[in-house]
Amino acid sequence: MKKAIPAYLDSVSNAAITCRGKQLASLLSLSDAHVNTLLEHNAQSANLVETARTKLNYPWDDILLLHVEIVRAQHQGDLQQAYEDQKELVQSFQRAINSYDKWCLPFLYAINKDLRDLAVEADVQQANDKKENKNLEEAANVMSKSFTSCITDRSLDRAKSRKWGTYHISNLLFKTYFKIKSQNLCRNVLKAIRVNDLPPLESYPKADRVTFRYYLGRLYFLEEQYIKAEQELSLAFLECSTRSSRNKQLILHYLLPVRIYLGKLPTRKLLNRYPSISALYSPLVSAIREGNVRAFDVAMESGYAHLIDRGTFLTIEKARSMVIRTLCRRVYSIMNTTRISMETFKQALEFAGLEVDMEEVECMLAVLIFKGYIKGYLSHEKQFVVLSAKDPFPIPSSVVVT
Amino acid sequence: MRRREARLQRFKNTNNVKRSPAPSPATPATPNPDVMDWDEYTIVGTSSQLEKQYLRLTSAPDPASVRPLPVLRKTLELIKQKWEKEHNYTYMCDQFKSMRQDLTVQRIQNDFTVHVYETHARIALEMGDLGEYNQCQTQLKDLYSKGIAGETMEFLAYRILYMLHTQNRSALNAIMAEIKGTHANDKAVQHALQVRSSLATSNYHRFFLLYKETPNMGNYLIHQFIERERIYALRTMCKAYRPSIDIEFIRKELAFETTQDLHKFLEKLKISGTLDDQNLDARNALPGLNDLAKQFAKVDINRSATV
Repeated sequence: MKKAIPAYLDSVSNAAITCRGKQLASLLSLSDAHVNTLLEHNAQSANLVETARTKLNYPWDDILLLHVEIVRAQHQGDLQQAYEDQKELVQSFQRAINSYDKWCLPFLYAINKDLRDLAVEADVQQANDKKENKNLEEAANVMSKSFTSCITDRSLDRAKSRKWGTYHISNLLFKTYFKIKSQNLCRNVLKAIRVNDLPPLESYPKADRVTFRYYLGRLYFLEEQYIKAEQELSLAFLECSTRSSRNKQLILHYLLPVRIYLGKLPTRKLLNRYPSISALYSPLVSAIREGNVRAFDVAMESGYAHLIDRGTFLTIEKARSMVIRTLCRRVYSIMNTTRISMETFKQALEFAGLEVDMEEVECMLAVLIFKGYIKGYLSHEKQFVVLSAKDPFPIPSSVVVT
Repeated sequence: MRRREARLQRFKNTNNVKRSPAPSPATPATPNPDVMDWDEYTIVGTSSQLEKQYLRLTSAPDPASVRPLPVLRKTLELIKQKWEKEHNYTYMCDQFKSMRQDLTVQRIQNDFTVHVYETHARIALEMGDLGEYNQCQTQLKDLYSKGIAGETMEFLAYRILYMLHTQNRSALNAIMAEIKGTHANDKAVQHALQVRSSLATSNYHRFFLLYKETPNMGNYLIHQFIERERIYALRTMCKAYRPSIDIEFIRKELAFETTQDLHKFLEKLKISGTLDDQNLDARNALPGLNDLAKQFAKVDINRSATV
């Protein structure tokens, strides 16, 4: 029984000496099976310290001792303490990191991830105790130093540089900044990436690439740079493995609103592949396709909470013009003439379930012309719409959105 | 283990509470329900002078210069009357700030405090002082969140309208997440939400109709961006209507009280194209309107997350 702990210390020492990053990461992460072994054996403090200092070199002795404390604290529910110790662990490693190259990255990822997770848990506990909960903010600061230690690695051997950890840590940071609602801090990360000489994104692991593009897409989305957002989110979606259904859906929750805004509707096939996506977006997409304004409004109301939570409601709302455009196009194909009275459009809108007075109808038509969805002009005195003979209703996706 | 010990230590020495030194308190022994976080160092003022100039505090105030709650109530009545009669904004702002200061140093946070901030906010709105309005709105948000009664709906509606002025999309989304059905029934909030949705869908017709029936002081906020919306609306109309648009129709759509007001607007913005008094030449007016609209395009590099 007593042999388990020394054996564990030996494997840590081994992994460090032979530069096996993944091995080291498991041995010192909080989600590995060895955690149970540590708890079972309840190593006596004094003994453990002595043994650790004998078997392990700097910084692994400190790191290991902290790790054991953290495991214990977490198990006992003292999350604030666990978090503080994990913070010290990360900082200890950061002080020594210049001696380690690419091999240490899996370990760096693991300790930062644990730091973040503990910060979140500690914050929840603090909030329940009605105390201040700024752990995640602080953790972000610490993680940011890990980012710096990756991106500023000036070692000449590119293949072994810590630069290969840049995007992975960036993604951890983005996830954190989004959670603490400080998305503007992502800017510093992006700036650093642009300024420093890194290998191209395409040569990084696919997982890093997909996640990075996802967050970049979301940032462009927040700034209403929809064309750029679509580019990044599409690439992320394409590359994202079909086995990661959850990730695919996460991307879709932003990709679909962007595409809808740009006039590109998803196929029924795509929607049907993901039931939760379909539940939320199918009614909207159908309404837009048919030009059914009432159905669109109903769908927006029922999806309100979900869409507001993701911050996509305001974007999809803009697609209402497109719905009215399609309704008008249907009127045109029924009337089959380029001169149509405004009264006709009013009737169509009322038939579709809207209550509108004539001035509002004129306003809607004027807006469609202004946005480029209808080519033609209005005559207020004659109360007529005069449509262009050629292509009076251009395809929405070809219309440049203002 | 170490933190539990630290906690026990604290309870041994209650005299070691860290506070900045205050003058020896001449306070009653019973806690005051109007004061949150009451302790024996809370100041209770003794001044009975109704009016007081605002002076920035650099150290703990002398209770003799601070007005207690009953006096402040009388002060507010006096200020309100003076405002009605004299309309002296500088004086009034000064008095309000000193009232707010007295409330703060005495840590009084109750419905009277709310009333003071609400009154000040309304007057600031009337005078177009958005800076002062914002300060009050921030304080009110905090006070309401502590459960203190006030005109929460009225001021929620103002918050929404303010977002429409700044076009701060993420803040707007945040407010809408806050509301999500709970305050949907209030008239003022309903109105503000309808204004929001009409702007979002470029429905200028509905927007100007709603403008004419804004509850409370909301119009002072809408005034901050009404010119922008009139430019946008007129630009749309000039793009869509040919060859010209009836002036009276424009006047009604853009909610101008009189035709002169509309003409003044067109002149001020140097929009050419009035053929005669009855019609606006749409094609002529359009380039000018396009240029005017450009100034409202949002470019905020500092708020941008991407580079």
